[in-house]
Amino acid sequence: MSTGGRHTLGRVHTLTWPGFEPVPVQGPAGEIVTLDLAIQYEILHIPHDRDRGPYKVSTRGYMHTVQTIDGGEVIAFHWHPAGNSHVRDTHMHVGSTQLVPGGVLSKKHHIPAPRMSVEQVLRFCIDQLQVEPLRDDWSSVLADSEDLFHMWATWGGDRAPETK
Amino acid sequence: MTTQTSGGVVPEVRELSAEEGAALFDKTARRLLGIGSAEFLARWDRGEYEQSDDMAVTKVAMLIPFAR
Repeated sequence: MSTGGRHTLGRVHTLTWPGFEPVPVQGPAGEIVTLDLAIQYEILHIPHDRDRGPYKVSTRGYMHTVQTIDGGEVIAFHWHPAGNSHVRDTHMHVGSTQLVPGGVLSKKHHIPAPRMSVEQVLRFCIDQLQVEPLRDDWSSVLADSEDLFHMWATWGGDRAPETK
Repeated sequence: MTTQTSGGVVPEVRELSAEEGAALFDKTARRLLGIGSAEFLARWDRGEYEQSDDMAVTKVAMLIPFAR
């Protein structure tokens, strides 16, 4: 995480893998894909909020990408409202490795998608891409963490992201 | 560094120093865009990347908190 990411208020922090290097995971046939995760967040002081206070972490953006071992994008889940793109909503991209020349879709298309937590991305990889989990109880571990995420989340689904 | 749990190995979260963060940001900007951190931040601040849909730019921008 970036400097001050554990405690500094009033600024956006980034949490990602060491070195911003994608992590390799293994598919059912032994093929390797990599998982690239990055989250921007802010620590908020909300002493007036008895349920969530006095401090909470609020997501400010994310980029979660499944890639081939050589870096080709497979699928990417994005939300970067303060970034360079004109697209401010949560969305996904289909990676170039999954597209065909002359196809309707390109990797530049922003496809509307719901907010994706890290837990949902991991579940997608295991459930849908048949990535091999490292532990037998992965589903309950993710479910416990997902429950916490949904308990504290203030946006997602039909709720718009909070604004400062 | 990692932590052993009942079900496997979980990496510990490490907070980078300002110097380490700056180095990570510079290395990533050079790898993805071929420019150093100072040049990227100058272009970013001038608005040269506004309306850009280049995913490499967005990826580097995600790491700006490591640089300042």
